[in-house]
Amino acid sequence: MASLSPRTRRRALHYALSHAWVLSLARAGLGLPRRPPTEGYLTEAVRWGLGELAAAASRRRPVVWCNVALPSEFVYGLGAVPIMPEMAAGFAAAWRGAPDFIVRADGDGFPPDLCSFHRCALGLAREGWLPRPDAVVATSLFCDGAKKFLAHCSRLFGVPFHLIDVPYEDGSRAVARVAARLQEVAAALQAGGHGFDARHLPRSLELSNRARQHYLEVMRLRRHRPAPWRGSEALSYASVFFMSFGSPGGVRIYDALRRALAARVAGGRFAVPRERWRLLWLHFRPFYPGKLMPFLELEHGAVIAAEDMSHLWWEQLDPGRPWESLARKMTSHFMWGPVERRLEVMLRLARDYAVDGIVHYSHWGCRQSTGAVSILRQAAVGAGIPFLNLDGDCIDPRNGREEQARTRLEAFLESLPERRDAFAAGSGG
Amino acid sequence: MSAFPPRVYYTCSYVPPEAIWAAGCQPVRLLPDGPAPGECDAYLPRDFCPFVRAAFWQLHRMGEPAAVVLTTCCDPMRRLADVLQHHRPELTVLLLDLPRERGPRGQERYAAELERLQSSLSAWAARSGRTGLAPGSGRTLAQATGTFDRLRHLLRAARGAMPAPAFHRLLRHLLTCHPEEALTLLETGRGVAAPGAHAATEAAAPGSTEAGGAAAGAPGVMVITSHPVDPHALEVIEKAGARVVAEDSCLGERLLDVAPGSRDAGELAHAYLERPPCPRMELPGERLAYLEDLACRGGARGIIFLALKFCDNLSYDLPWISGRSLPVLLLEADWGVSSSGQFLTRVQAFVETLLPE
Repeated sequence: MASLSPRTRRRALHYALSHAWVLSLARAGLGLPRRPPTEGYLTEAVRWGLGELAAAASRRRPVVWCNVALPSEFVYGLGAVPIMPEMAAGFAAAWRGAPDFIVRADGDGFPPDLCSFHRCALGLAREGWLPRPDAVVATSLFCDGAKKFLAHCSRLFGVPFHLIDVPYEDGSRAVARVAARLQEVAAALQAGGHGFDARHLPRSLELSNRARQHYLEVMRLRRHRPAPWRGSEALSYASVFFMSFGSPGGVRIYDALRRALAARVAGGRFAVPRERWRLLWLHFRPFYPGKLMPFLELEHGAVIAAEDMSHLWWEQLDPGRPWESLARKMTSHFMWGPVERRLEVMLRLARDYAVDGIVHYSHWGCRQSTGAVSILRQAAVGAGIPFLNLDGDCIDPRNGREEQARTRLEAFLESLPERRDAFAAGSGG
Repeated sequence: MSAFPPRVYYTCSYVPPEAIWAAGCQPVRLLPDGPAPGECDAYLPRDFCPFVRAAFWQLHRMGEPAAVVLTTCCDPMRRLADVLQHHRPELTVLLLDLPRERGPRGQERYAAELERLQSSLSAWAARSGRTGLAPGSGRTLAQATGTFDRLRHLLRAARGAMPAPAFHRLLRHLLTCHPEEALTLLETGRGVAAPGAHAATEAAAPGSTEAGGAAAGAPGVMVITSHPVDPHALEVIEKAGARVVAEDSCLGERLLDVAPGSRDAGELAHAYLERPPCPRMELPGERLAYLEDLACRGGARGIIFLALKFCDNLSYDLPWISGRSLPVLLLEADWGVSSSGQFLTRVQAFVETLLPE
């Protein structure tokens, strides 16, 4: 496979995703069972991901490129497949491919100041690794780069671009405006052909609610001390969190995850051998393989008990009022609006998950998150919670500064008081 | 009326100074002199918009309990509002939600924001006991707009009569002084007390070389940037032998090309949202067409793309602009430090390529 040219590899992947028999063969070869066992959330996630990619690659369903802040329920509700190139960049990083794609984007004239999620995604788009979009939909949530990046992609592929401009302040007027705009975009997509159909919307919202119920239980189980799930793994499921709500796969994945965590808690099988500290992680993690996360959680027993980016912030959706429900999900996003919303989430998670410290991972190029660090720090320290800001890069290992990050993390952990109730795995909750 | 109305600072070209003036306050465009020092890192990160860092530092060091008007135009500006509110609570920070939609829905939304701005500022000025308007002598928005329409008209005329660097030095003075003083200065042209403005008007005199005016026959260039353009950068460009014939910046067309005659917040919102688009407002294609037209009207032979570091909104324009017919020179700079020797050398080399064979 390595000897094949990128073009041939890309074509082979598209062919595989477009033909069910290839996937069946691969599943058999990889030993992936058709019926997942209790701890089958990974299997469910792989099945869901491959299934959606196959539907997109074979053009069985229309494809919408969007940013992570567009509710995936909206896309599934139109009978389409959501492709979030920012999340694809995470996969490229996990497979050690990000630097090549970033170099490709740099060659097109994009400066290295820009967020590496978007530069890597640009490279992926230019190299043809992602299923071609039928339309691009962006929201103004929650960073500038995503909107500009997606607008650029729409020009690149010559497909319509739709922007959903979300007012900065939450409230009934904001909800009404966004709901009207969502309807407009849905109407424009349906009028443009490709098989978009909004009749799937109530079903999508029902599925989302079912997944949400499972996820709420996952969040409740994660409050257990010792923690049943490592936050580093939870953050690796960011693409599932952003892209699966509203699909049948989302329900299956979170049901399997809920059952797996419940079984771990019941059986006393916890995330790390000896939980010494519990941390709240703000923003994403480095997605490329590295030593930072094992160093933190496995070597030092500092388990990431909660993350702001994968906490569930929205209320139950109303399938009878889909546009308002989706609009409310968008306008209430904790990363949008004044920083007080994010502060409230940070302090609430810190309390609910009984954390000993907070780590903010300052991803290179992410102005909307790093610009608030001085305020987050002030609030955390004011609440008596130690706070560490860690500079790095989620996508590009060349900019990851891993050694420096490890040194700083080590010093931070040394400054934390040892928990009196530190647990060893198997000691029960 | 008080001779010294309370000063209200603003950072974005989508903030109508006439709305501030109508509320009895003096609008002052925040144009920091130089980059923020290292101490600023305690509040805002280093890999952050240098203009916003410099603006924060100026406000942070300010002694007076001023009001600041910002917009939600970009990530750094939104965070600037947060950081000011948390670290300088004695400042009154008003954040206008700037829509991206320019149609009726966006205009209605922005009109509500402008009404909120006026009432908040009036209340702030009254609370601080420094209201610029005597009781019963209220200034209507139409009156305030009249003042600024006249100011923009005179500025357009002045721009055509002086080299770009001199015009921008004059502009920087006018945008920070009392609007009536600015009108007097432009209407009389001379006898200005402010040294910077005086130098600028002197430099505009025929035969003056103080402003670095380009020689006759120098190739015309269009300058594109997302922020207030740095007059030092313009000086270097003209010193290198080019003539700035078109300018897409916060102090270029976006400042001056506002439809006149707004009588209420709705009309003002329309006038401001329908101006030449800044990179933040872009819909694919629209901005590119506008820039091509601007370059064509000015007779530009090349484009100098002045990219302020860490500006996401502008950076995405570059690949599209580079792919068009005019040659493009990319110059990256920090805020207030674009007059280095290397900068000059690169512009000179670029200008040579624009000269006829």
